Amino acid sequence: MKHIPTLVKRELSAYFFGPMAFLILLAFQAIAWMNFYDLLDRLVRNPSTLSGVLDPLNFYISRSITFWIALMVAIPALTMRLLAEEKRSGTIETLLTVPVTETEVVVSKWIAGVAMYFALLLPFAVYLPFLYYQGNYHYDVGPLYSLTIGMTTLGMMFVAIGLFFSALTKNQIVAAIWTFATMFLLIFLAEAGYNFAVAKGSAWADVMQFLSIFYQVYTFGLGQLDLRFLAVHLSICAFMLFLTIKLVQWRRAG
Amino acid sequence: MTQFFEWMGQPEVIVLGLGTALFLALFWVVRGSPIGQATAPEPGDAPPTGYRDRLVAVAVLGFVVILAGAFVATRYGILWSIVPFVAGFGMVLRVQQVSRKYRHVSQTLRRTIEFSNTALTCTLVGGILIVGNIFAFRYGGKALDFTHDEAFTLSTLSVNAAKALERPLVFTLILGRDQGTARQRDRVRQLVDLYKAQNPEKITIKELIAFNPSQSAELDSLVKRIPDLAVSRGDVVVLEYGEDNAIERGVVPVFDLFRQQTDAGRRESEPQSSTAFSGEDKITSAIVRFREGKRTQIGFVSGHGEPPLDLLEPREMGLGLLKSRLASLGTDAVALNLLTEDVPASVALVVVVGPRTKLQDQEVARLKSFLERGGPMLVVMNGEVKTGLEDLLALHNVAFEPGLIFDAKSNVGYRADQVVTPPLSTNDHPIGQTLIGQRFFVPRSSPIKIVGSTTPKPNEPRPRVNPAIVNYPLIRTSPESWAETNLDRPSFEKGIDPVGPFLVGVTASDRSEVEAGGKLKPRMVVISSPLVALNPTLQTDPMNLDLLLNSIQWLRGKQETLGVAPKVHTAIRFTADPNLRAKLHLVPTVISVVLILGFGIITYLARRA
Repeated sequence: MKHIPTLVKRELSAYFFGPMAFLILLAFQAIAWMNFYDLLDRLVRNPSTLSGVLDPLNFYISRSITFWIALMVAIPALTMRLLAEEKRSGTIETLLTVPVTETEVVVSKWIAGVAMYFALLLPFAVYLPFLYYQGNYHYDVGPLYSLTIGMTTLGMMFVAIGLFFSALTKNQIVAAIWTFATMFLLIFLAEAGYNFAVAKGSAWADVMQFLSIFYQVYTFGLGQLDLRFLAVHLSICAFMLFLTIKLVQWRRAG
Repeated sequence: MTQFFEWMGQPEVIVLGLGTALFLALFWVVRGSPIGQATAPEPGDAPPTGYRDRLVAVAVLGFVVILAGAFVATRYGILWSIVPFVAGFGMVLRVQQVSRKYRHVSQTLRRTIEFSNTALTCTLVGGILIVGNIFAFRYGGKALDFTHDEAFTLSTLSVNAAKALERPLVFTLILGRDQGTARQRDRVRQLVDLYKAQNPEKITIKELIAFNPSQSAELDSLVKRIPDLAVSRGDVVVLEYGEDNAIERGVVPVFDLFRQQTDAGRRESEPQSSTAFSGEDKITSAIVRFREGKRTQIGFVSGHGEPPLDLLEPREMGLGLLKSRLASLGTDAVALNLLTEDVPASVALVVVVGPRTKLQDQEVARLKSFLERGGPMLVVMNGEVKTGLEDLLALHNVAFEPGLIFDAKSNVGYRADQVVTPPLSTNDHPIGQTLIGQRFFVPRSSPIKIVGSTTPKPNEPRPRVNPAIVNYPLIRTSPESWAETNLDRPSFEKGIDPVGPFLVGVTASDRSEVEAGGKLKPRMVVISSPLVALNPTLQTDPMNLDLLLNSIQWLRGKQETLGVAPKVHTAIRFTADPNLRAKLHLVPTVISVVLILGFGIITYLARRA
């Protein structure tokens, strides 16, 4: 595992040596600014909310559709090239002939992807200390901790899924489409399935709700940290990384 | 035939079938050809075909047995799964060991070794993930609560009530009947989820949408079972406890669960709004009532102009709201005519609310006899009218002082006689413990004096104090209040009108009767506002209802069922001038954009160089 820092540095350089990372960051900054504008608009209204569930702060990230759509585009864009590009350009052969293990290659790519994912969330975090200290708006910071923990494990899972699809194919677009489809399934279709199951009175409603990422992040944003969600995120992440390592090993073995 | 299909539908049979299919498929893959078909020839140094096939079969069987072990672990427990796990891993490891020496001569056995390696790694990773998830699901079912006001944490009373359920409890949320409560649904859903997390085996949650045609039959059937549902307004939570024919039911309207904190003492200009959510109290009360089973009676003294028990309209001067809330707690409120009968033995508590005329001696004697038998009493009246109960109060070291309390600052509707108490700061008494931070609306109240609590003036006779009684001051008015002695001209006259804070609620316990746990026996609670329990007052300040119910439960000796403090959510309004708002928008945005662009330009220049 001693080669991981070097490999991570190589991956991060690959991100930042091109314009793509900066463009995505600027796009996220614009979305964060729009969401913050909307948040301030909600906060200045007369407080008539009847419960913490409808606290305006929940609309900043966890209930913001623009945030989720941006994330569904950004994560596939960041992960699609991780292994697919190496395969397409043939650099994977060079990489696998140097004395590094497949595990080191996969884990370092995943760490770089997760680091990039955190960078995408930074624009959203930037506004909140200003609101608290400069705006003197003393909101409950507890839910922010649970949201941070939840978004971290969620990002780890999504990047692992993206990496797996990137290992499956040489074509970056195919990898991005599969990652996007999986995220769409987990974020929106599971939520739609839950609503459908509730409307039909189906016993699957609980299962669909549990699977819905939209619901999971909503509860994190409220200040509830369900350890089962974290366990599922980390399990899928570990499983996907394991499968990716196996794929690379099989490929190396020919 | 039916029996055969039932047998086939058993999980064990299904798993056996799947296991056999998996074995055959994997055997085919690893061996290189299906059963009954010859495999490709191998060099002469390779072991014979039969031997190779047996090794492949053992490796594949070992893997299938490991998977079967996982099924046994989930269905019968970890202990039972040890045997298949040991057998499965043993078989795979042994085959790997035996096959290794032939790996250069036999392609089949090389494939078998690869399969064994992959199978072992997969089961190891899968095992770790499954064990991690089992732990998370078994011990992490209750979400950690990160909110400052512990919005998602149930009180010990609720947790115990949910865990102690002996029969199934079904929560049915009937939603969509009222758009006004639409915003509150998520909060109610989350509350019942918290109960379910405490006892998932006994608690089930259902949702019925009122306007959903596919659920109308189920809704109609529920209305038939629970007639109260037909007359209840808005969204409701229905609780059904028990099975078969022994089901107890309760209905909790959602609009009863939320209340805007009283406007008294708070002005519109204040940039925050607090909402109390008392859902936990209402639902836990209902669960406790289900578990208690038997209904008790509370007698309300009548015949002296007391407000009627049956008036339910919020604007009518009746006690209907209190009565219906008592009913939801499993207590029946009955009117007592003490002129015609003694206090019945079935009555656990007597309540006197605002008599307007004097009670006759016979009635007072019957009340005294009830008190002497150990019966507790809740007295809700002021000193304006001589009711004949003064001696009974004096026996409990309680007396009313002259005048009515006025407060120019803490009041409702800018009317000084509509006094609101300051928020209860600290209170060691069980009645007040769940009401800390709450204000109470005590219109037309009199100051209460605890007899013997002050040193008499030089010319005053020494008061007669009942040494067996221990009094505890419950609620007081603010220091700005005064006791108006001249009601024709109600304004504060310095030197004439006594100045607050005044005691307006007091308890009396009997030290001669000590209950289990060293607690003194509750005897009496006196609240000196005759209007405190009326429908319009409870409508103005619903916290009064909690005060009354806590008092009643304490007097009944049901201290463990004293209400759960409502969860108060404070929504803060952001107040900022346009300049500050612009700064909040622009400063972080400009800093971030400059950093991103700066970093990008530096990278570009560095690469170019």
